[in-house]
Amino acid sequence: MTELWHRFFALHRARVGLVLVALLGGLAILAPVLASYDPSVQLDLANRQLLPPSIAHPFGTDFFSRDMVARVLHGARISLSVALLSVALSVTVGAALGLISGALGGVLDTILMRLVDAALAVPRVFLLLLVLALWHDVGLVGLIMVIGLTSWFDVARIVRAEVMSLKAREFIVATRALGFGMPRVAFRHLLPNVAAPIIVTATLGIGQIVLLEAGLSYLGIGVQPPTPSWGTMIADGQALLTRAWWIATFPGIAIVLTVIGFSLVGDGLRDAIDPQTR
Amino acid sequence: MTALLRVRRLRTTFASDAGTVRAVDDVSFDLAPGETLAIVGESGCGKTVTALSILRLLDDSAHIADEATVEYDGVNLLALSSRELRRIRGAEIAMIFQEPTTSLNPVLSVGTQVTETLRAHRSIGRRAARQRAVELLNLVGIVDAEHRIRAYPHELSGGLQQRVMIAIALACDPKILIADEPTTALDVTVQAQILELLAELKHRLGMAMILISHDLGVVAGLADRIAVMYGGQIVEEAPTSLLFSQPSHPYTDALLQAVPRLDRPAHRLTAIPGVVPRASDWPAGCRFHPRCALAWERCGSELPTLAEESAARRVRCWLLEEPQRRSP
Amino acid sequence: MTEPHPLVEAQSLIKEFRFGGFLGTGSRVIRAVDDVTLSIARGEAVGLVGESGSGKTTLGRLILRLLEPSEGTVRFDGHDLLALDRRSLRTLRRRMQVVFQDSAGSLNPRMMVGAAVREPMVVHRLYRGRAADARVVELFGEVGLDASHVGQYPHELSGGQRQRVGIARALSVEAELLVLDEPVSALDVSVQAQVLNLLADLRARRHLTYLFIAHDLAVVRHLAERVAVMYAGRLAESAPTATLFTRPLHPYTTSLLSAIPTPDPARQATRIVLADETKRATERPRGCAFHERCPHPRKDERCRAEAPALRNVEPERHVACHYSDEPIPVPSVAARPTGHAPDDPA
Repeated sequence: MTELWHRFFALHRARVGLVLVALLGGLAILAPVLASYDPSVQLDLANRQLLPPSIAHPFGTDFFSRDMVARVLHGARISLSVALLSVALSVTVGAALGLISGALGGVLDTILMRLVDAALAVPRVFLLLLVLALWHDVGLVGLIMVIGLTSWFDVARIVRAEVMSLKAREFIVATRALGFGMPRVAFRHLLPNVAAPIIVTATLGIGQIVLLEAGLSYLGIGVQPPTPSWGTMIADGQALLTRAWWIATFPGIAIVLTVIGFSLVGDGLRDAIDPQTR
Repeated sequence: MTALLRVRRLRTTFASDAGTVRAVDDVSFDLAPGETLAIVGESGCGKTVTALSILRLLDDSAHIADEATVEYDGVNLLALSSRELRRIRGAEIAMIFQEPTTSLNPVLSVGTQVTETLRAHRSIGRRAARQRAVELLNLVGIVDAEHRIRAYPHELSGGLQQRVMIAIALACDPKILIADEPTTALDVTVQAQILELLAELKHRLGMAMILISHDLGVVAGLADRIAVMYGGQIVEEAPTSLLFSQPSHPYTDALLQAVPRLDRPAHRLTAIPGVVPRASDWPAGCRFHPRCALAWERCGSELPTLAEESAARRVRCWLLEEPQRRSP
Repeated sequence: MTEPHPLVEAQSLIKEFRFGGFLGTGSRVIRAVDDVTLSIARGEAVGLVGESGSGKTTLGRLILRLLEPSEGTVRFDGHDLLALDRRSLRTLRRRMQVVFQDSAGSLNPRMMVGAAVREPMVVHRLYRGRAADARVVELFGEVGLDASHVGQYPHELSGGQRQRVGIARALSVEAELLVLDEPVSALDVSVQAQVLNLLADLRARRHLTYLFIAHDLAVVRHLAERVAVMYAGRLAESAPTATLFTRPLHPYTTSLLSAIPTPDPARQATRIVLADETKRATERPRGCAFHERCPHPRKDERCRAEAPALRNVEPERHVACHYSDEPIPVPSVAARPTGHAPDDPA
C-alpha cells in the first residue's frame, strides 16, 4: 500500500488533483465558518440586488441579494455530499452484485448481466429524467438514492470482469481445492483483489456525479431551491448572464475544478495501481 | 585470435525504488569470429542485461557506466550515435528472444516480417526480398516456405514461430547472433529441434553466437566456451568440455550437481542452500559466499577478482590463491 | 495397481472443452483428456509427464474435481467424487491438495503468507487461535521456512520460499494426496533441487501420496516410482520409473528421453529430432495421435487409421502403440562419455 502511495505521489497530475480535491473538500467542510453570510438569507432586496464582485461580496450577489460566496461554498457542501453518498451507494450495490455474479456464475450471472446490459442500453440521463419526472420532489435523500441506484451498472460490470479473471488465477483455484465456502472466497480472497479498480471507478465517478447533479438541478429536477446547489445557481444565473455574469460563472468554475480534481486523482490512482496502462 | 566482439568493464545499473540495482557489475569477455559463447546463470544474475547492454536495447531507467566499452570490429558500440548503432543492430549483430509469440507482430504475415529487416538495411526490391525470405525460411528448416510465407504468427506452432524469429535474425547475414533463452518457452521435443537447427546454422554460416541460457544442458552441445554468471558478475569462464568435466568455481560445481539428469543414478540431489540474491543488495565480499560450502572469512569481506587459472580458464574465487582449502 | 484399494482411481476420464461459436453453433471441441484410466496406490508417487497441451494439468484437476469430467469417474479412497454432495466433497477435499507451478500466482497477493497457511486449518476446524498460530510456525519449520516469514507478503519472498509456503498450505489440512503441478519448473536450478529434496523428505515422513505432473522427465525420475506419459490427451505409456527410463516401449517416450539436454558436451549428437507439430489440438489426426511425428520405422497404414489401445503388455506396464513389441532403442541414455575426466574432480 505504501508503495502505491509512492507511485501516486510521483505523478505530478495526481498531486495537482489531490490538492484541488483537498481544497474543495476543505472549503465545503468549513463553509459555515468561511462564509460571512447565510446563503439563503435575502440581505437587502432594494440595495444589494445583483451587485458585481467587490470587497464585501467577492463573487457578487444574486437576484435575491444573496451573497454568492456563501452560496458557492454551501453549494459545495450539497454538491459534494450528494456525489459522495451517491457514489458510496452505487459502488456498494455494484461491487456486491458484481462480486456475487462473478463468484457464483451460472444462471444468476447470466440473468444479472443481461439486466445490466439492458440498463446500460438506456441513457442514464433519460432514465433519471423519467424517474424524477414520475416522482416529484424527492428531497436530497431521494435524489441520492435515485442517482446511486442508477449508476452501479458500470461498477458491477467492472467488478465482475475482474472477478472472472481472478477466478482463473491459481490462488483462487487453490481456495476451492482447500474446500473454502463461497462467502469466504468472495470476501476474503476476491474482494481485496478487486479493491483497487473499485477505488478508481469510485473516484472518477464522483466528478461525473457532481456534473450529473448540476445538470439535473439546472433542469429543475435535482436539488430544489432554496437549497444552494451549483446547478440551480447556474440555472438562476443563465437568464441574467448579460447583466450579471458572476452568478453563473463562479459555480461553473467550481464544477469544472471539482471534475478536474477528481479525474486527476482517479487517473493517478489508476496509473499508480497499474503502471502498465500508460 | 583477434576478437570480433570485445566487452570490457561492462557495468549496468538501474534506478529503482529499492535503490540502485547493480544488474551487471564489471563484466568483460571476448568473442572470436565463428565462436559460440554461452552465458549461463540463474534468474537475476545479469545474463540478459549483459546481452541487452551490448546492443543498448535497455530502457531509460538503465545506465551503462562511462568506462565500459563494447568494441565490435574496432568500434565502441556504446559511443555510437543511435543512427550509427541502428546500422549495426539487426544487420551485423542480430538477436532472438525467449518468447517467439510476443516477439512476432501478430498482425503482419511471416513474409512481411522477414522481408522488413532486409528492406530496412539493404536497398533491395520487393521481389528480391521475397525471394530471399523464402530462402531464409528454407534455411531454418521450414518446409513449404512459399506457402508458409503468407501465414500469420498465430497459425504457427511455437517451434515454427521460433524458426521464423531465427530467419528474421539471419536476414542480413549477421556476424553475431545473440540468442536469449531461445528454447526456454518451448517443449522438450521442440527444443531439441531448435538446438539442432542452431548447431547446423553455426556450422553452415560460420557466424559467432552468444547463447544465453539458465540450462547447462542446453548449452552443453552448442557452446565452444561458457561464462557462468552469478550476482551480476562472471564467476567462471572456460572451454565447454573443461568446464563440465572439471568445474573450478564452487558455484559451477554445485550447479552441475544440482541439475536432475538422466545420465546419473537417481540419487538425492545436492542442493545449493539459501536463495538467489537480489540485484539490489548483493552480499559483501564474494557474492556466492553465503551459499558456498567452501567459504571462509576472507570470502565474506573481500570480492575476488576474475583471475586466470590457466590460459584457458578465468575464475573469480579465492580458492585460486589458497587451493589447499579445497576439500580433498 | 495390484493393491485392492488404491487411494485414487480415475476411470475412463474424458474432458472436452467447447469454445468459439454462438448459441451452440459452430463451436469447436477440444478433447483435453481422452479416455484416461489411472490409479495411484496409497503412499505411491506417480509421475505424469507430457508436453504443453498434452492434458496433464487437466487430468490433475479432474482427479481433484476442480474440473467436472465430461465422462468417467474418479474415486478417492473408495468414495465416488462425482456422486458426493457439496458438504461431503468439501470434507474430502481436505485430504487431497494441489501445489501449483507459479508460486506467485498461487498465493493471494494481499494476504500474509502465515495467514494463507493458517486459514485452511481454521476453516476445517483443525486448529484455532494460539494453537493455529503455533501450528503455522511448526509447518513453516517443516518446509524449511523461518518463523520470521509468517508476517510477510508473497512478493517479499523468493520463488523457492513461496513454493514452500504453497506446500505448507497443502500440509496445513493434513492432506494425504498432493497433486504437484510442475512444482519446480519455474524455479532456478539451485533452488529446484532444494524443493525436490523437500518433497521427497515430506513424503517419507508423512507417508504422502503424490501425483507429480511435469514436462521434465529428468525431474520426475527423482521423485516418482511410476511414470505415466501423456500425449494429446491420452496415456501413451505407463511403467515403473526405472523400467521406463531404461527400456521405453512407446516411440514418443523414447523421443522425449532423447530430447532432454544433458549437461555433458560428449553426449549430444544422439537426439531423436521429431517432425514439427503441425496440427492443432482441435484437428488431431485420425488413428494414433502421434503417427505424423512418429520416428518408428514400422509406422504404417494401421497407425494412420486405428488409434492404438492402452494395453497391459507386461506386469505393471501399459503402452499404447501397435508396434510396442519392437521398441526403438534409446539412443544414449546408457552411453557414457569417453576421454573425459570423472564428473566430480573434487
